[in-house]
Amino acid sequence: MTTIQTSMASPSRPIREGLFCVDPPSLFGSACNQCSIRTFPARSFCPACNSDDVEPQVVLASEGKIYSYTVIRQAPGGRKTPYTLAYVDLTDGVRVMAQIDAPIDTLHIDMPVRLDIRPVGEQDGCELIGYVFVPKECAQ
Amino acid sequence: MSTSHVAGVGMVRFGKYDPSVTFERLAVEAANGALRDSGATRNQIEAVFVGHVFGGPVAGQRVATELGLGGLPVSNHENYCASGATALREAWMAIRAGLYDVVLVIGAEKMTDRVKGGVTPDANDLDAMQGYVMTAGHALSARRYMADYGATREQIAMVAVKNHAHSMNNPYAQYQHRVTLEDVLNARPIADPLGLLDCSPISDGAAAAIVCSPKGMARLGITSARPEVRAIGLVSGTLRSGHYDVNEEDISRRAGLQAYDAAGISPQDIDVVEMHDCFTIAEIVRLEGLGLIPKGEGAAWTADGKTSIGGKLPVNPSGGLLSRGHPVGATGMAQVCELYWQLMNQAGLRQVENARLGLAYCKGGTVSGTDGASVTTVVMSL
Repeated sequence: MTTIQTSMASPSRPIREGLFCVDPPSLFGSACNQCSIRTFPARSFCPACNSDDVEPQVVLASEGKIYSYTVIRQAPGGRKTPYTLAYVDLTDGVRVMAQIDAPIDTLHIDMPVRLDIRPVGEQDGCELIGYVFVPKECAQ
Repeated sequence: MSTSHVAGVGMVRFGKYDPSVTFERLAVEAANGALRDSGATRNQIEAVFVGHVFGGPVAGQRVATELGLGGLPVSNHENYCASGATALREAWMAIRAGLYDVVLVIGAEKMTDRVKGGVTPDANDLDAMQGYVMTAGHALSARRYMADYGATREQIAMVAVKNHAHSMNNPYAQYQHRVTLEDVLNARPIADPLGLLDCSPISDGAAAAIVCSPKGMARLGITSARPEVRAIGLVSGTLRSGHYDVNEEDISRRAGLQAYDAAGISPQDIDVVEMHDCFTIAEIVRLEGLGLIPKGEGAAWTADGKTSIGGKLPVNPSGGLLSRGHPVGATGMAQVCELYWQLMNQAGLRQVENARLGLAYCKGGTVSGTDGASVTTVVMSL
């Protein structure tokens, strides 16, 4: 398992350190040793039971279903529209907000999706790597 | 501890002002209106509290200088869309603590020349990195509310129809015209299922109040009753875990309880509400979170006219953010102006009959993973 490293020479970097790894594509969270609740992104305490006894880095489930979604058709800051944003409920109890790459007319609540790590933008000539979800039946 | 009273208010009409009309000028006009309304003179003001988001560094001091109030303690307060009410809360606490007897509170914002296409969380927020904008959060809430409670798109749209009908009688409102259900449903889509008329506009404006202890009221020569600020709740969001209900509005519940407990009231006692309807669906779920409307019934209540003036619980007689406009840092104080006019029976054709106890709610900002950033609940009574 490798995390993306940032260096002066690197042509790409993650949107934020410590959120995910590329191979296999997975999100990192923390897991509470007391109440077993998992959290994304990882935190040094458990937001559910307030315990400090947490596993600092666990691999989260990479599949889940859409809890709610919206197609954004106007956005500030020159962001290209439309795009789809959703709450994805992972099979291990974690909720993640992320964009969904799927035809708009196929979107629905409870739609099964899976994680994909990919380039999501560019900043100062550097490719930004982030995470999106795609329909589960979509071929790898 | 001393009680706090609103001795007078002032406000400029919200709307889109020319870039040559400055933040300072809007704030000064609202503040001078409050000074006139209360009969206070400059030398009677002991401190100035200013709420704003986009006003820039020491905006409050820039305004105080133009007001001729230089030298006083001036503080700037930022809690995004709850900034104005947060400034009021600081003033209320200072009066309770016995520090001052007469203070000036201003909420002000000049947005139209610096914000385009909608407001967003801080760029470093993880949700913002995914493309989250404020509209998106409310669209996600609306879709889930419709799925969970069987509410219709039309019922949610009725919040805008109702609030625009109210604002026709508010001379301070940015929009003072009727909109129809068809107008709302056919408006340009912004974030499905919400369209342009489900969203409050980007606006300029300012609103102000003179807040006094009883001693301060006497100093101003005020002998008749003025609305008392009974309590101001302030809470922040908490991290949610698991597959929680996005419309549970725990943050609103906690903010409501804090204010009800401090004021010694129950939600059933409230006669009129100024609600932070930054988006149509927000008015519905927040009223439910506050315990003012049963869970899942807010959309039907709106469509049935129960939240209209003359209904069971009039909400936003001013027209709310959807119609009065939403200069974010000014909104909390505009709500306080409206409650003042309602409780003083000075609201003209939008007057709620027998309004004795009012609640004003603001929610400001988002923090990734939480149910919000800040919520204020102002309880006022005559």
